Amino acid sequence: MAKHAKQTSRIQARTSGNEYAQAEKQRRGMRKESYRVMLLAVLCLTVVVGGMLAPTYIFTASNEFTLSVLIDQVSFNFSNLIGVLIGNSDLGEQRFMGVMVCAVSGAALGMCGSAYQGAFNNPLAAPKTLGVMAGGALGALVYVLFLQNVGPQPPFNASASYSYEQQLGWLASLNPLEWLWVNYGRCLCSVVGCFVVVAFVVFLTTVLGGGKLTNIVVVIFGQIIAAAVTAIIAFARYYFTVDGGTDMVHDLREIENYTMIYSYHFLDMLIIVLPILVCIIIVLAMRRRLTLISFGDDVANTMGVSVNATRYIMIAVCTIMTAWAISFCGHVAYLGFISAHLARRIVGSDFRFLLPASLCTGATLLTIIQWLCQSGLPYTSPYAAGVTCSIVGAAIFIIMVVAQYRKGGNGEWR
Amino acid sequence: MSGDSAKTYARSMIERAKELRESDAFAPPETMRLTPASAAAAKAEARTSRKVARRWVVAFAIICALLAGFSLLLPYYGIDAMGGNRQVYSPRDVLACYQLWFQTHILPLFDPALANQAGLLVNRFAETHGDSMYTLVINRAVVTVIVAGCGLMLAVSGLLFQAAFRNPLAAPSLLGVSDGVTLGVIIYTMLGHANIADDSKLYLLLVYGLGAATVVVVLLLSRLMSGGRRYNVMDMLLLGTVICQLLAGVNSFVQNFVMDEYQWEGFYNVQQAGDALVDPLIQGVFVVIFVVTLIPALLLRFRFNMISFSNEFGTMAGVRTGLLRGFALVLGSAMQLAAMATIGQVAMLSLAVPVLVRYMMPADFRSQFLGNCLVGVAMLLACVAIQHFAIIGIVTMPVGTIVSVFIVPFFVWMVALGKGRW
Repeated sequence: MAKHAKQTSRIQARTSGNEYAQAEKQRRGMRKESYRVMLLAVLCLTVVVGGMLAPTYIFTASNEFTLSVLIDQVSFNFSNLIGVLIGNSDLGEQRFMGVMVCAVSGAALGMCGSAYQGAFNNPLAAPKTLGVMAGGALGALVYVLFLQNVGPQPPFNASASYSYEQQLGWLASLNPLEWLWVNYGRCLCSVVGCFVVVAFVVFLTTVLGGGKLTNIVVVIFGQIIAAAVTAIIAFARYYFTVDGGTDMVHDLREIENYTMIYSYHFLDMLIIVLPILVCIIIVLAMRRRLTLISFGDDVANTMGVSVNATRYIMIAVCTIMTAWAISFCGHVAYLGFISAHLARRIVGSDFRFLLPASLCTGATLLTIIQWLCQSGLPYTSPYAAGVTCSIVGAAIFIIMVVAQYRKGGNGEWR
Repeated sequence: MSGDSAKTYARSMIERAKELRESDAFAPPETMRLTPASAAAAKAEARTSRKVARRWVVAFAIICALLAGFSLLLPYYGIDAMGGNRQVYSPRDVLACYQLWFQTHILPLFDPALANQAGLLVNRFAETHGDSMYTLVINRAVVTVIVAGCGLMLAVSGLLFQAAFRNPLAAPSLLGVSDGVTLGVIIYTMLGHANIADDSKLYLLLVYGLGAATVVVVLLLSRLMSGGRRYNVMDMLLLGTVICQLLAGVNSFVQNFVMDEYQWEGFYNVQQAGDALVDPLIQGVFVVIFVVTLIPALLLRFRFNMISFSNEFGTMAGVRTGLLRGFALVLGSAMQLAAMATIGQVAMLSLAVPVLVRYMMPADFRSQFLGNCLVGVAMLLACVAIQHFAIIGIVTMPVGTIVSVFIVPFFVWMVALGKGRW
């Protein structure tokens, strides 16, 4: 009897040893993914620092592009960067802050892409699905049409020449609220537009349409609203063209291909980066729930995740992030879609790794794209960041398709 | 154990079984049982749903008739289609126009001798009513008919795509038709044309060619993506999204950084197809595609019903699902291409109409087909009627813009109506 018990315990020990080995193996597999995430993070940091150091407008015709020029410019940028970090130089500040803003916006968009795809459990979902982009454009249109001349106006004629000091002096004379409106009026309008449209879509489909966040109705409604807004903006532009309102046309063009060319200062960076960072932390905290939702609503409910609440929180947080990024940084939300898919191909579908990975891919891609836009290569323009995003994104996606074909992939998503 | 007690035991068991049989313990639950009452209730429900559907059909048929009557009898209530002066013709004069058309086009078919009078009649009409009226009114009537055809085709193409993909998100524009057409228009504008009348052959070639080419590229690449074996729906949708976005990026770049204002104005005119409707060549191509696509769709409607369930079910019912699905995709794309080349950016209609009809009608393909036809026609006719009044300053709002905006409140209303029915 005792012998038998001993044998049993030995067998148990062996099986538990096997299980232990399996768990160890699995843990190593996990570690492989975390290695990949770390590699992506290193790549992302390298690209961001490189983006700060890399010379811009080097491929323009007026520049003689040689190695010594390159080294000179890089060392110049480096000394400026050090100066900014110490705090006694504002020569490099604009560039430093610009790259920071780009990286953080890209990170936010990439993460939103993953979070939406997880929360809706649909690979077609993207930050713009609920009409965020259309809302931003609508807010900016309202600003251009009605609010542009509200608030304090500069005492000097905009078309005449005025010095930078003059402008600074005028800005310093304003009270904080006016200062905020003068500097960020259009961006804030755009943010409000984003919120209004997404809230409209979500409210109508859940409160009016039976109280359930069924993703199909929400998504269709988002598309319909987006199409309506886009059509109205195009018509407004046509009207102003026919009517001879050249300034309006210029402003409306700017809405579509917005910023990324503005110089950012330290305060700008704080205003842009802080809310995004808070939202990123909230999304990261909900990573396990997202993983469970990707198994299906029923499974997630059984495991104690309230799916609807998670969806609402995700929509709210991602809308804030996307609205902030596209309002201050330009309409580049398409990046979210691509970087989420890229990250999924690299680390798989576990949101513990997917979220940080898509954060890194988003930041990397947007920094590279911003540099490309400012590089002075033929057919590039600092105004065309959104377009470059579309083209680069499509190229990446098609490369992924071909790679999968070569590997003999079975065409399964995730 | 004595025989007696065994007998008693057996008897008690039999009695227990009888009791059980008589009681409701083994009866199927209420919902599964087919009692006469529940069967009658189910029948009544089916009848009411059919009745509701019939009521919707009648309502929309009446709406279509009213809108068509409005467009036909009050053709220039607001403004003429080309952005000219505001003119109001009385229905009486308009009817006189139709009478003249009947006299000069239909009657000579039966009595060739009347053909000689046609020129005389037209001249006499021009003396009393002015030179341009006859042409304008007849053009407008043709436009009304073609607009109705476009609405029908757009709605049916949306329905076909949803049946093929079993996914209400699958609008035909996902395969890139819409962006391909826009690219064609951009090339047409960059070649130096500011309206369609300049070179309608080139317009047709570019628009149809690029729209079809985009669809073909998406289909081929998605086949590549699925490993070259079969089509995977999700792959196709993903690739469609990506390629649409790529084309949209290129289009927006050209619009904003390559064109100047006047070129852009011409581009917008061509894109919204302001004068495509009155071009006989474009009308002819449209009618050909209308007939060629709609007849197979009508003939195959029961088979499309099969593929909207599942692959296994369709195969069991003797339908080649893969082939039929590909056929549905091609038909739907062709329909949308023709509609967009003829009246401009109205692609949203093919996403919205099937969704709206799904709220109103029973889900079988036959009712859906009928409902989609009627609602599509009614929607587009209504938008064209609204266009009479949508004049801002000197600019008439294009149909595409009106469609996009008009759909929104309609959709809100339908969502509110179909509370919890999704």
